[in-house]
Amino acid sequence: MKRIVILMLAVAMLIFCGASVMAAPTRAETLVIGTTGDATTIDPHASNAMWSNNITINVFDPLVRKVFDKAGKFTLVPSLATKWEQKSDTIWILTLREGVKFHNGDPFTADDVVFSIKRYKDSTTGGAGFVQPIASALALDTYKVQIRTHAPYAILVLDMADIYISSKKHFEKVGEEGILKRPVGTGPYKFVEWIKEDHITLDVNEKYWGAKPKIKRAIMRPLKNDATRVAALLSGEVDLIYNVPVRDIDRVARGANTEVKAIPGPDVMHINIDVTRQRTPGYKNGKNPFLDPRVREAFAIAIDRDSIIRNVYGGHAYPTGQLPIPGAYGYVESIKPYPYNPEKARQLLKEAGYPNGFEFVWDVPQQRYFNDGPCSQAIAGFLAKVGIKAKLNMIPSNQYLSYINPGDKTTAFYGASGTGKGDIGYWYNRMFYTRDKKEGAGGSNRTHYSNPTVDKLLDEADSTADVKVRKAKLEEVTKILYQDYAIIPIYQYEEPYGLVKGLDFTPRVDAFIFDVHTMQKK
Amino acid sequence: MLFYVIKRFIQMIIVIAIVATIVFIFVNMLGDPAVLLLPPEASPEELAKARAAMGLDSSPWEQYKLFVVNVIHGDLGNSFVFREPAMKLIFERMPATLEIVVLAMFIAALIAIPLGVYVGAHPNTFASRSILSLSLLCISMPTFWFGIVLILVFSVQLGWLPSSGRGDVVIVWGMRLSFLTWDGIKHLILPAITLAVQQLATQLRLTRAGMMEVLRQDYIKFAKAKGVSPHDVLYGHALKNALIPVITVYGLEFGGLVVFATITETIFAWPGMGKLLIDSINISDRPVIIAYLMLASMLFVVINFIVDILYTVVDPRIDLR
Repeated sequence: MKRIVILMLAVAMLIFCGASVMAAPTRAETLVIGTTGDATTIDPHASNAMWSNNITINVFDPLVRKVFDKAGKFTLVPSLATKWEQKSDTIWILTLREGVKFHNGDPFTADDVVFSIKRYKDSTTGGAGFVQPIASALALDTYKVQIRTHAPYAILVLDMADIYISSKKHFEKVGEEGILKRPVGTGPYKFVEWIKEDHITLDVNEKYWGAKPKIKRAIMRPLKNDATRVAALLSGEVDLIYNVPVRDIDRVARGANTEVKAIPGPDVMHINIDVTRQRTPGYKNGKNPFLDPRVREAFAIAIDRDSIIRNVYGGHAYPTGQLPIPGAYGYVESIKPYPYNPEKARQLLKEAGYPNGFEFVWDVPQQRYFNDGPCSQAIAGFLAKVGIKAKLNMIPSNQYLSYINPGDKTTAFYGASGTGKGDIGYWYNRMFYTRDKKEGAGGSNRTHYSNPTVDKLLDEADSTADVKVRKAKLEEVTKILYQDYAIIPIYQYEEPYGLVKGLDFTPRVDAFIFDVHTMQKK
Repeated sequence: MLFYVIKRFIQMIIVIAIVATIVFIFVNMLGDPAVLLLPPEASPEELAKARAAMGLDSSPWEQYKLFVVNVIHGDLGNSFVFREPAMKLIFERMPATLEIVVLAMFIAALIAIPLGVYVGAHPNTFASRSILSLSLLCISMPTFWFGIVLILVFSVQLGWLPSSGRGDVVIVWGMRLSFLTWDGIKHLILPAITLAVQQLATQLRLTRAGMMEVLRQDYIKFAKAKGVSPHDVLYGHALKNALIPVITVYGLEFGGLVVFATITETIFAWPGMGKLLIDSINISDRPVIIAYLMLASMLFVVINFIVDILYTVVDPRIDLR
């Protein structure tokens, strides 16, 4: 017995010798955010993953910052770039902010901008997409950078809002591994620690060049399970959560200390159908029925969007007839959702020579998008009512894109589009430009859509340096896609946030949603 | 004994080699990691670049050969997602999982064995019947449901215990440990109970079955006739012999919980190993999946070995050879 006691004491001593206790921060000065996933990296240039972006936006400054209003519309304000001028169709000159310092004391200069753009370009894990239109960046002097784009590119400023700057000197000192341990930016918050799957802690940068942040410490906790996330908010452990599940929205809204802020999000759920190929892989009895515009129209008007939104989403989604969201370049005010009219759909099918309808295979992911299963089943139910039998081909989420990307097995698929950047051009180029015609375009055109007019309009949109012209061309494409029924948009997601009462929080409709320095606790 | 250990060690190497090969074949059937890692609108050029960076541009056979060579050199590869060694990622999360699993198995054994002995010795009392029915309820209760109910009652309604996370930790030799702070212990309670409940029920029923069988045997009657006190008959003579199957299952369940406590970890946002496995499968992070399952099979072999040794302690008649 005595020996056991001595042994236990020895173990306890050993443990406390190697121990250092972590001090808890004061709760009132801290904002705790419950997210739906952990970051995959803290390297701002390596990834476009949502929860990595949310460290990036706080630790680093972009060249231009997006400021969102309560309605979800944004304005662009100078950040590390104070001025941007277009010298020619493809050349832009940026003037940089003077006197800005990185968290480690290094001064911010043009070299850092050139270095950061180069690092984005070299990324093999998703960062390269941020700077795709940029051909080169060149430091003209300490505070002037010249950016050259591959082709005239009207919306470089929008891209600049997603380009975050890290320190070249710091990188040269610590290398690739050092950056992954401790990112150093100029942003309103300093990186403290990242304990994987547990939390990320950021502390305020007292020497921030901009308006002083009100929140002293921000902690982001990955709470993947919906019920856990809501429980953590209700019990006061976290102050703000992303994605309140539909069934809990009322509960959080009625909570004594909690409320819900919901805005239309950047994603539009839609069905792409093959309206181009004579023979289509998902239809077995001869010619592709969707070649007939009457069949496409019947398809589009057979779906009761309001009913789906009411029954599957508890009213928390918005019917739409186009992929761009309001405010994004390419959005056409006058386009409304296809009206629900099953009688007319049946009539159209009869006229098109399908009085008894037809059957086709529809590729649908499993739990890739929120509620994708129930929603696709509901859509198939509405289609069946007019005689179109959609055989659901359910594909596991992690194999979905590999399966549909080549397009050789796909007649129709269920997808989500994101216009978080504020411009639909990039998306249109990938999804609707004729395949294998132009480098970098049509790569994700899974239904092999091909329309020379659309190709031409997209070329024109991408070869003008004038935002107004680009907008007009993209809107034209939106109209054509609407008339072609090449996509059948269903609804725009709602993004519901749960927060403690008294928290001043404006949601952002893009891929960087938690800009902590704009928030304030009561 | 030494010969036995060497034999076991060789067995372990073979098992791990087979597991690694099978897993390698299967992960190749999961989705394309490049497509999953990059944004959905990534261009084919970006995808090709990413594949090359991950070493996925050569044939599966070439990849396998390289994998075997690397493993022999002790390198299980870097995670595609985190760009860090797969083993490091797993070991980083191991202490968290061990904490809840050890506590859960401790709670389970502490309650299940005495109750099992009682129920086995007095099968027909009202208390025994209630305990048995309750254990059936514990076995059939889905973990995720029970965990969420615990959160709703103890965190949201009563506010006694935190709903998720690890709380304050003490860092001991690089490991983050919750059980050394009061706040950390409070965070441990709910996940440990959630894990313990099913184990408790299984072990209770196993102990009971073993006891009922042993108690019928002649040497027990003899011990009773000799005048040994009822307590000593139950705990000294009967329990020891009833424990063999309990220890076997206990060991296997322990290993199972360490590597596959995924659901409980997800519910309580507990940053353990199980969550890492599921996340890696979802995004086809092949190096992590392979390293994880290799480690899991190693763990099971080791646990089986320990269980075998425990047999000889409980019942000296068993000989390891």
